[in-house]
Amino acid sequence: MLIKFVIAVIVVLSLGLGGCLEKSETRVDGASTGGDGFAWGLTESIPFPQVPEDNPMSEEKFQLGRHLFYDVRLSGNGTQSCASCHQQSLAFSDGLALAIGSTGEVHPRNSQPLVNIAYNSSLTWANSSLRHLEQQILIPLFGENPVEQGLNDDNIEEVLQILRNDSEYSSLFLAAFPDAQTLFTVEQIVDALSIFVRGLISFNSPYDRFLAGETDAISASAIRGRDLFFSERLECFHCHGGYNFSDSTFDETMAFIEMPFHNTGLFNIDGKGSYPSDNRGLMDVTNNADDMGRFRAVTLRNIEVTAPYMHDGTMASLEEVLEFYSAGGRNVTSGPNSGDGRASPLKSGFVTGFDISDAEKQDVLSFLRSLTDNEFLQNPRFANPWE
Amino acid sequence: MLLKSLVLCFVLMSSRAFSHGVEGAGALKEGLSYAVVADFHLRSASQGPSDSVWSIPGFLMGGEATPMGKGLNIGEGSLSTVYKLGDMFTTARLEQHGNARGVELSNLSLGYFLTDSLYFELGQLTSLAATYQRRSPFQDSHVSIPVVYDVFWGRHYTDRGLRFVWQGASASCGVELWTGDRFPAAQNDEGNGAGDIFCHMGLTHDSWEFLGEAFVFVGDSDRRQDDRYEGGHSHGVQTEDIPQSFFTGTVEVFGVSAQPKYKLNQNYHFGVHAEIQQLQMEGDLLLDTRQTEIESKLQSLWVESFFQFDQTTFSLRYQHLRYKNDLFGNGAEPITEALGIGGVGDPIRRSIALRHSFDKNLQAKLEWQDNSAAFYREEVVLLGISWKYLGHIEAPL
Repeated sequence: MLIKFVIAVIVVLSLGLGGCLEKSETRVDGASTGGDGFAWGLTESIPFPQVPEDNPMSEEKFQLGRHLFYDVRLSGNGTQSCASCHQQSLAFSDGLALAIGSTGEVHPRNSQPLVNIAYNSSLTWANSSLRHLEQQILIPLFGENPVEQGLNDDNIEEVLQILRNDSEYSSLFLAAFPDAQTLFTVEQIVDALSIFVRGLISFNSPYDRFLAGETDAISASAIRGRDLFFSERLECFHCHGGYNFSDSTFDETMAFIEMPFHNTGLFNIDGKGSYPSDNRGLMDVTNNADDMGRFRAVTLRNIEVTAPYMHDGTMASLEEVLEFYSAGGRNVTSGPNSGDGRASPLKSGFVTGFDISDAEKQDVLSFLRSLTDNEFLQNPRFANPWE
Repeated sequence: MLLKSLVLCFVLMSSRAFSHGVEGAGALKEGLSYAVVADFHLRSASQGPSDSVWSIPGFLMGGEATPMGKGLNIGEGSLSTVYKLGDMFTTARLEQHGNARGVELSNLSLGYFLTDSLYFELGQLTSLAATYQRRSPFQDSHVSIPVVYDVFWGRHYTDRGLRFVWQGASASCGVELWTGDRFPAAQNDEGNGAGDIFCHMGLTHDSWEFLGEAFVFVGDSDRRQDDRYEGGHSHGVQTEDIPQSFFTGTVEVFGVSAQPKYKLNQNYHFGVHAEIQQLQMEGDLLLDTRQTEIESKLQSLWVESFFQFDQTTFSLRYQHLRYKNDLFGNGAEPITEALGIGGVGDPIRRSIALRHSFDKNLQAKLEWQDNSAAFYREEVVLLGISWKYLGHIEAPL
């Protein structure tokens, strides 16, 4: 009888072993778009962004968009182009506290840098409904409050005719939209501008090279600053983490869109966390009181050259920004917006303040400066084609 | 594999040579029985880096499979009680697992014998499938926990449920139905529970003894999380460094084991333990805003031989894991990287152990381990000591 059991054991274990896997293996079918063949200039560690299916990337549209981006003729009075507020040397910001439109109207917000916009999960400072550049670009072109480039129903046909009269545009439009029955449409202009802005990619800073193994790409001070930046003490990385240094990031590997917005305690006008009535952040879109003062965390890539800072451009330097977060908010002591933002009940839980020495401040600043991608700031591919 | 398990059950159950009873509720004595176990051990190295999440490359882990640290570790501290009165019995178990967890009531159940050989039990229970889950360190030849129980079961499957067990003279079979609230299942909002069937058998013939087992476990997971480091159990790991992934899908585990043992004489025994388990899972894996489909087939082989002379046991143990993971979709690559399931080859652990029992209550163990079941190859020495006390108070209280 024992033999029977031993045979049974041997048979069963042999069957089990016979079904063994040959070797350990993990197979990944990432189904990447491969960037659709567009020259994104990404390294292997960076995923491709998601691109709307109805406006795929192409080099021809990129080049058309580049020409339009730098063309002042694309404005109601022929004085302002996209590049007027988005200058390459400033990481496509403008160096002003608040942007100024073609008619001189002052925008309530600071011009955002156009850096890796393709990865933004939402666009502008605080608008959860703006997902795609094809929607957003209509605002600076046709917006009335405030007027930016000043296009409208009355002047658009005239502006289009000016573009039609330029033979260079004829070939650019034809190359970009070879199957279109009609060229020089507003939709084509918007699509081409979207493609150009989407193609403004910056992932070649000294810190990127450091991560890639170039150990002397950043200073010892910057390395210490990195450790502080990613520490629970300073909390910076919670909102400015990830490969794009923003928690408002979306790429082709993601299935769910997260649109985080944060109240950093800049204002607390009434003791209940209120912001100035013309600039209340996400609440202006949602009308939800909890969204008062909540703004998108911008990427910190090239942050060194995009001063002044914050949505209202009220902080002139990175040192001032660091002081602000160290204090856990801002105490406005006079004027109509006075109030202690540090005590705002709506302030993010990550903005609690921290003690930091002067040496540590310098380290954090060194780290932030290591995110400056000089190649991006000078890349001829993104430069003004009219010069 | 299911077929193979059933084949084993059938072949072994068809034998009429059983003469060795199996452990179970049928062996309970009237009154209150209790057991106290204290088990400690020293490790020469921690189980993986102390500042990051411990995982076996290629595998998704969870449950209570927390790593042991360098130095002194608590293997187990427990007080188990069973009170039997007539056909009713109730069990309770207070337990401290591992280093950082507090004492908790891990088992609490009420049972009833429907017949002399059939009972049911309901409450918070530890599964009878894969018997090592219920095995005390005192019963093991080694200090360390078999790696398959960490990876497949989160150390052990303890859940709220109901079981029916038939106990014959030398075999027992049962069905267990679970809420499915524990790794590798997860109940949450839409989990459909879990269940298993098992058969254990034990027999003797002349100088031979044989223990065998087969089981099948099926579980449903709804957003299963690796919560080993939650609830104050971070073990020094920064919580923001813990990838928060969620698995939703089905998990099936099959297993067979055999333990033949030969007695040369009263004092000298020789035996073998062979165990195969296979886990299959299929579903979706979420990490932050990313998602991927995953199909995994994981296998474990555990082979051990031992030689016992008087109060001392010398044993050699070989454990070998294999995995085949297929991930599909846009999120596949970053999720694979973040969770470390890309793997670096077969995790293998070879170990040698010496156990000496000073008396029926006290034993010491020494183990040497050559371990590739981590991100790096390591050799570890473990020194353990286990103490137990069994007591009984006659009924009625």
